[in-house]
Amino acid sequence: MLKALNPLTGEWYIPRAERGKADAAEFLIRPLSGIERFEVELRRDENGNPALTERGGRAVLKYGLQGWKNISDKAGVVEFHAGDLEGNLSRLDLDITAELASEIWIRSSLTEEQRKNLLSPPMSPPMENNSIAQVAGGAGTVTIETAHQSNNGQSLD
Amino acid sequence: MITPESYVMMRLYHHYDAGHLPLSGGLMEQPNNFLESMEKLGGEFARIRREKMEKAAGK
Repeated sequence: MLKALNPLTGEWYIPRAERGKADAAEFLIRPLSGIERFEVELRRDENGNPALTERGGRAVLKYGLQGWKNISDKAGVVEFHAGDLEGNLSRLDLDITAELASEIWIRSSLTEEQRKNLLSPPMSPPMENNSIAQVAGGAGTVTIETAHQSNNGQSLD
Repeated sequence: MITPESYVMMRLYHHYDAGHLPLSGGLMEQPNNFLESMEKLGGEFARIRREKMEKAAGK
């Protein structure tokens, strides 16, 4: 399925540990906007890759966690309280919290693979070519991923 | 290789370049991954333009 824009609407997400259960907990999460991204603090992990700090994770959850269902304790159903991040997080297991922050962050940023694909040649600047076909390059044709092309866009047929 | 996702982003770049945004609100209210895509494409297009100009100037 093509997810073109990843707009700022929530989607229900089932954590890994809950999958397959009849009454699995579900969380309504959405990607962050540009301004929300500014609040997210990152660090470099041991491999030099960006990773969320604890504060960064909280910022991600502050905007990206929008609701939940099928969460309960001994007293019954636990309601999600919009705007009460600390209260909501206090009801969740740390592993679930980390998984949710990570999932929201992944949906909010381009992955290395997406960056690579976005910059894959051939392309031409849009000011010089107004049609989509021309922007995609080649002989006036748009090429969507096929099994007949090499990575540099040359035909293997 | 152009994936369907990058194809859509290239289409959107024309509108972004003309000042039109996909969602209501200002620039920074757009999805962060959309903004990252536009920044990457803008940088790449600028590089291509620069190389073409340098090539033309060298003729």
